[in-house]
Amino acid sequence: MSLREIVLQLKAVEASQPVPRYSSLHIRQAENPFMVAFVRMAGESRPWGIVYGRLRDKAPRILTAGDGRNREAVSQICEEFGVAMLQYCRAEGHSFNPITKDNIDPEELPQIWVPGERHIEMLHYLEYAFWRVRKGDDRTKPLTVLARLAGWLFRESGRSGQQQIIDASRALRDAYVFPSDSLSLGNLTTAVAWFNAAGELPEKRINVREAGKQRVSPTLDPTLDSKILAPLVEERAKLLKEGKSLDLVEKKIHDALEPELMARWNAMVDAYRILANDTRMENSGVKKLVEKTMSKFVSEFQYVERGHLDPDSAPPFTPHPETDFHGSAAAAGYFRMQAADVAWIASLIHDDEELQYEALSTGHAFFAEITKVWNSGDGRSTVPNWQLLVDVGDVQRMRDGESYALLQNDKSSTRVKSIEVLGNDVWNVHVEWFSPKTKDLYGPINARPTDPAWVGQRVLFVPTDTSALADKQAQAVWSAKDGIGAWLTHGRAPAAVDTNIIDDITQLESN
Amino acid sequence: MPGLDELSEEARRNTRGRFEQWVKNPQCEANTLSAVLNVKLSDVAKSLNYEPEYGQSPFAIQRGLQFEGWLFKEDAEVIRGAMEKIELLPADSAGFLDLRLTSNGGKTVRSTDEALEKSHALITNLVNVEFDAPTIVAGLLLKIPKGVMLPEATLIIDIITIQKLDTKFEIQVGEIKVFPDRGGHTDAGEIATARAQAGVYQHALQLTVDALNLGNAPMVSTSGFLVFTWPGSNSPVIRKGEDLTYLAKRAEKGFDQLDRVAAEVLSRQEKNLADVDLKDWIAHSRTEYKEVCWSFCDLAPRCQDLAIAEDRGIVLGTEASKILGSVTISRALELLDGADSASEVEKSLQEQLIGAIWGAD
Repeated sequence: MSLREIVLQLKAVEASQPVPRYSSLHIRQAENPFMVAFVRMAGESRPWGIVYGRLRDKAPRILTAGDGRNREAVSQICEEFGVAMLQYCRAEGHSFNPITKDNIDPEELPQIWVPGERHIEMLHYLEYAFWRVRKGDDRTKPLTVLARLAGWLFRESGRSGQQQIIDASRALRDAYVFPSDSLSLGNLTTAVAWFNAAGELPEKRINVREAGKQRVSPTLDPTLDSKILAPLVEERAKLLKEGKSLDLVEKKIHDALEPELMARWNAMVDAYRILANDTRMENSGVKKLVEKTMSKFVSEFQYVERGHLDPDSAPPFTPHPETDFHGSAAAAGYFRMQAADVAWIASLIHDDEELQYEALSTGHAFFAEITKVWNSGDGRSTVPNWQLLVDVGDVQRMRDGESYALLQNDKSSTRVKSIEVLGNDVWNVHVEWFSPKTKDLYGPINARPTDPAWVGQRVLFVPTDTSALADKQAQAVWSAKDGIGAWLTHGRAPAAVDTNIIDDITQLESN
Repeated sequence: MPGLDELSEEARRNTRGRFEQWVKNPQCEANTLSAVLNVKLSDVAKSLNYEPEYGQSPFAIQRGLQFEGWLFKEDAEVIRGAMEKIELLPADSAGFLDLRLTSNGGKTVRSTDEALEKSHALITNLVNVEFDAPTIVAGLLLKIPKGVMLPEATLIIDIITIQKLDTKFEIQVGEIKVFPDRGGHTDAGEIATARAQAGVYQHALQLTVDALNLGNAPMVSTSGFLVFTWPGSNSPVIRKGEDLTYLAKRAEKGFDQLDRVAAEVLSRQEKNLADVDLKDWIAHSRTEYKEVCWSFCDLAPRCQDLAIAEDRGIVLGTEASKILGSVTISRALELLDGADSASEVEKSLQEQLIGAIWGAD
């Protein structure tokens, strides 16, 4: 946490309510997203109950199993939920109009909302539960496809800037700074309560704490377990043993779980509405992030599903839920995550003053006065160069060879050629323009980079989007398996973890 | 399977849980007293009219017992198979000693005294390399041979393995958790907790072996292992080769510190302990409220109430508390708004806050 964050917390205390963290919103809110929340029996990893539906549905669908440990009953509810989610996502094989690279429309982003991080983990558990198939099994069954989608969403949730899986609690924490500690805000009901609680701040704090007693994580309150659910589950087991009807007791279990599921659903809906009612604009860079999200969905999930549907092709590689088990896959994944991280800030910073201040305070951006403009190109080529007097703040991370963009010009790119330290507060920096070279730049003046009118202008340089390079590295990793040192970097998994994994590695290398 | 109420006696005598509770906030006197005097914080909270929230679900307890039952059934067939597969035990390993109490899923041992006696006998027998030692032992019970933690200090080790080296036996400790292991995605906090607990076992076992002063004493390995579950199943996932060297040192330092703190706090009590209302004593001891308290302490709401009333920085979290120090939140706001600083501390804080304000208006 930075000092800046603490100042914002104090501002929130002054306002007695959460205050905006940034000057724009960094997520696209789908018009009618798919929302889902789970409850599970303590100690289990599969869901005992699921609530899901579209935001604007009349009522969400609630499914529960009689006993959260009964695999068959749990599989049934997961299958019904899975079909609905696959259809919503327009997954290959589960939609008449699947999303493909030819029909990507950012306005139709399939977006899944969950109440918090633990529910994203539940997606991973769903992958574990239904991912495994044996040779000859139908890999296109809804539960198996759900496992792959859930696993893909789980991994995607860790990619900076992704717009497909929204953790409602995190979305609120990213959009606002609260007059409270951050630990309590992991509970969505606590975060939501800060927007609704009445009274002066001390009273509000107590009210928020009371509201936060309603859990929204998949694990239920132990008191509810011991007082209500455990006796019912015990009664169910007894009736089962005696061969009697379970209908009534299972209804009672459903009725006990329903309010818990609805509490999770309602908290999610409240979070959505808080963000929807926020007067800040969506950051103009979000469009790019949405396009990237959808193209990744198509190239990484839909592509694999098409392969599974093709009866003539070998089963495509299916990632193991646990890890990569393959050097190239791990390295490529690392570069893709790095690319996402770079692209995320670079996409948003041009349309968000707060992000610019943050970048300035951490030394990732700098103000400069242009002192000289010249063209070092030969003949017809144009290579614009600028000499800058840079204000050095408390933190400055600039190094030779780094790239920066000019504010408001998200596609622009310069490279630092040399740095001369003039004093404690001022550096003389030479940058060369890579893009644009002959087109106008936007800023205090609109002019080409070679225009001498830039001299004397004070401008802000911000991190540039260098994700294309990391994306290329992600591709290049695969070619390196035949290069020097491949025995070091492309070794097989040290132990035969299980037979399915070996199959996957073979498939991976043959692709 | 034991009834849930039958577990309380064992839980009461199990020092590890109390030690781990204390480690979470050693600066808090109330927490220290609760651990040392073996008085539940939930009981103290109740005495102050705060509703306890940190109970354990009966489903979670049952799941843990079922998992252990599954691992150790039929002479520990399941866990042995998993251990042999990853070469934690040799392929032809044999022998299982179940020292778990019958109230905890064991088959023969009925009391802690019996478990202690059998545990002691086992360790003593290990001086003889010809001894036909079991390779897996469940529920080894130790009494820590020092004045560690009043009124008693016992530890139950979930599982140990015993292997014969050339001239002596080697013991490795293990910790069993029903927590699902998701490889690289496993919650780091859960792994750290399990490792720390294994470190406590390792240290306690070493203390016990040293105190017995045996010739050719068994060697307590500095490596241990963790047993988790494969998500959604009862299959064990074993993480072997866990280096417990520093975790055991942490436990050693922790126990020593706890002893010192306990002695110091107890020395301030003028009455005989038997005449003291322990809950009342803990309830009125000095506390050190932190964010982490919400993860284990039923007194957290009470301490937060005090922090709110005193306008302390901790209400905004640990980091804010560190930055604000003794300056109250209201005063920090005044300084941010340009009030004259009244001390060097305030002046420094004001400079930092105003320096960071850039754009935060």
